[in-house]
Amino acid sequence: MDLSVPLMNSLTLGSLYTLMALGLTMSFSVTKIANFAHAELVTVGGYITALLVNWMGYGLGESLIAAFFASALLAVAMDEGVFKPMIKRGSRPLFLLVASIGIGLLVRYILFIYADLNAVITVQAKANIQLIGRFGRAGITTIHLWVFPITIASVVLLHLMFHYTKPGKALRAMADNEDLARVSGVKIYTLRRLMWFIAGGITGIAGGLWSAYSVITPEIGWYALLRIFAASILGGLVSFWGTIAGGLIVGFAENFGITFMNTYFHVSTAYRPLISFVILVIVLLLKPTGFAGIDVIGWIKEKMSRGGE
Amino acid sequence: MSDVQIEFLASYIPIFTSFVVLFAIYLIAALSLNMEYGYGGIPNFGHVFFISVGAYMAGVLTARVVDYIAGIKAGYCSGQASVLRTEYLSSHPAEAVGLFIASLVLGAFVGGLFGYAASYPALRLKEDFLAITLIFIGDMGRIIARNEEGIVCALTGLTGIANPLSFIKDVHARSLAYTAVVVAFAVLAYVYVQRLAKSPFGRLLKSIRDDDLAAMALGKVVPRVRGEVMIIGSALAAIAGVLRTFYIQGVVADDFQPLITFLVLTMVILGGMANNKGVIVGTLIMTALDQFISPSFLSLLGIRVEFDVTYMKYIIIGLIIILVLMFRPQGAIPEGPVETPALELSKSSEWDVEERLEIEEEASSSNE
Amino acid sequence: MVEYIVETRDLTAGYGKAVIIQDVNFQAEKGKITAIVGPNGSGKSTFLKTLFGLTRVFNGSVIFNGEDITKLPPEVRARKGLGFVFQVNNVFPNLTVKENLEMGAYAREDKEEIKKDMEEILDIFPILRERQKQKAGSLSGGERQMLAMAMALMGRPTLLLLDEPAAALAPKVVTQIFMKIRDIVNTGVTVILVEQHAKRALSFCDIGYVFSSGRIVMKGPGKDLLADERFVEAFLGKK
Repeated sequence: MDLSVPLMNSLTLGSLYTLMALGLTMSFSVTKIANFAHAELVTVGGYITALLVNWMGYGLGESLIAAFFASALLAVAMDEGVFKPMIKRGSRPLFLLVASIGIGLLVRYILFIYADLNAVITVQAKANIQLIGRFGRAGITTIHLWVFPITIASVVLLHLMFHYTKPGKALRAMADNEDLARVSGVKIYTLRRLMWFIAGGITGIAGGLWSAYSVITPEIGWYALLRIFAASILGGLVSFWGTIAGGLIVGFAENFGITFMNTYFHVSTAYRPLISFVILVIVLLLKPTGFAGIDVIGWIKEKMSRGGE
Repeated sequence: MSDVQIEFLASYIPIFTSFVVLFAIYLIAALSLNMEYGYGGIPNFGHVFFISVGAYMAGVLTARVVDYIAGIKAGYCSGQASVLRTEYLSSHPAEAVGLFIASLVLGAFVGGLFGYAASYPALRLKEDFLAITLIFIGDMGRIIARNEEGIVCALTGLTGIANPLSFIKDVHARSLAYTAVVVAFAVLAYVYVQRLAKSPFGRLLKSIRDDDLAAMALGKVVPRVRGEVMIIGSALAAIAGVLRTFYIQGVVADDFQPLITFLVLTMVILGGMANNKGVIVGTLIMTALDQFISPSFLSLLGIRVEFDVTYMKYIIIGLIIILVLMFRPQGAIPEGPVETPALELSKSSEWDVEERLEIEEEASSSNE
Repeated sequence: MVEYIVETRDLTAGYGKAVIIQDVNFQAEKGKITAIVGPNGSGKSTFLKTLFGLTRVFNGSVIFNGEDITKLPPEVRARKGLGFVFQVNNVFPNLTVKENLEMGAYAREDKEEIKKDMEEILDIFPILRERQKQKAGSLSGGERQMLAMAMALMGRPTLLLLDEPAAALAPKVVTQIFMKIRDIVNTGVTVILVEQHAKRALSFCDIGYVFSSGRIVMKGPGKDLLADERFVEAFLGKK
């Protein structure tokens, strides 16, 4: 059985899901908000990219940068406009979740109206995609040249930022204990804006890549949301490496899983989302901290240092 | 009144009945969500799924039974079968009404079962994760239903579930009669939910919802109470679904999107959580929104827009959710204090305030 | 003229709509240890947090080194030389011990001095040096308390606020902590501490303030308060 096609698909989709989920992991770990409007950060990025490429003749690279800024600004606007004021008034996480649903509806359907008026309810960025090589029976195209490096670079850069730069450590501190961060002198509001900007931006790029990879609609973010949550939750909603593991697992599970179920149990491919859903529920109920709760290196170190006492 | 005048009034009946029926069905749904979330503190954002369970049960039961009794050989999902079913139900009032009642009972039962099952995640998950899980459970139900032909004919939907009052030949009279039936159910639902809310069970719910410490002290009671709330709420939601199926005379999976949950949730939030009177207000406003921001109604007014106006509806819903949560989270009519027998007693003028203060002062001075 | 490093005038503050402390007129002398004692719920912690801007001020003012800082947010006050050690949740559990100490010096710009201070602190608290790379959440209660204090010191504060530094700690550790506090004061840092254990705090401090129901009811040198019959009866009897 030739596995090259499902393998390639899994890697590509897995990377895209990872990229989409990184922003959610970031925003949740710092603000503890389960942001359903995250979906719209994906969609907006996708549309900006598609429109710039198709109607303004920009290259994919420039359009992705535009998508970065568009989603980044949208994310900051969401926080400044709704989340931050609500938190200052002492809202519970659940209410913030509901508010995020409201924001999502607002943005999504404004986009729908725009798309309807301009006949772009379905659209795909017609970036210059060329076939570069083959992996078994699967084709390797320029899309893959964009997706894989960007995904890996994002994870590495985010990890470096959060563990080796002052703002990054301050963000982790804020995630742990906001009051303590403030008395240490952390300008929490400035850093919050920075965090949303970066989280939104990465998600926008993810949406842009998606629009080049496949057809998008204004609901594309909402449809992907289940996978995005599954991937983030596998990373415990706090760990970037966990998120990439989560994204790849979701990508693989959906491709291989559904192929397997289809071939041997005649399960329709329409049940793909169920696989992600099952992953989500299993992780939440059995090990809510996901991969973040598994600190292999730390565990080994501890075992070694205790041995010395 | 002249014939012309009667005819003129009669032409407004469909708008009137469709609004009232929709309002009543939404009200039952909203009251059930208010019970689960407002009183019980369980964010059942997969709520639409339980409505769909009732709707599917009504469709499956009625279609299968009628196909069997009437000996309909045509395919379960075929248009032919649909016509034959409608014919049968229109001419056999006893069976039609019987199936209607049976659907209600079955729907409530199965809905309650699913509700009970859904209460398990509530034990282990924090509220925002619980909400996430329930939202997606709801959608998974829809995905399964839209793929399995055997349930409600996947994408085409199951049809021929005729109105139980189809034996009434006059269209207007029939719709008015069914409207009365649905309204009766809504009234019953309201009375039931109100009594529950004011009962010891209702107070227990609120104390579990509000105070984690109290919940911990109550220990084993909490899962049982949560399970009960979900059973009741889901059964009610299912009833709303059954009523809807017989009104639309069909059922299709894609009608039950998470958007419906959010619409109902807005009714609850707008009206005021844990406040059934408020829910009536919220439901009224949102049903009006739902009805009036639709292409058909707007064209009646002569307004035409270039885009699908349903989009506008969801933008408004989104805005309402945001604005209410930001500026008036208690809703239109805030929750009142917990009503206990002691509260009732203290409201009476038997206890004079000054008298009470004197007694208290004496008691504290005797301690020193 | 006595120099007050911080004082409050008619300070009324609390959380949300609730007023916890009222009309508080307080002064802390530079270089001294000021203790705040009183029964549970009397507003001691709230007062301390108000000095740092973590509560809602309804009325009154907080003056630091002659400057009115009432409207300044905590992160700005940190840069003016204030330090705070919380009673609970006083470290960053997911950051390593070293990163915690780095956060303590967050408001400072002088990289070389920060490095020197880090070495010094790790000398003063050898346990922390040992556990440098460990996550702070895995430390014991006493170690965490030490880390919290070390973090605050990394900021080179001129005024250090301690919220029940000895709470829930073994007696041996408590003695150590109080010795460290004495050392810190000897380097010129002013300390204000809130303490549940009135006798211990008052015998240790220079000036004591007694809170009750959100107001100051007594104040004076620690030894005098301990000798005062009214105080002993009212606050030490009730234990």
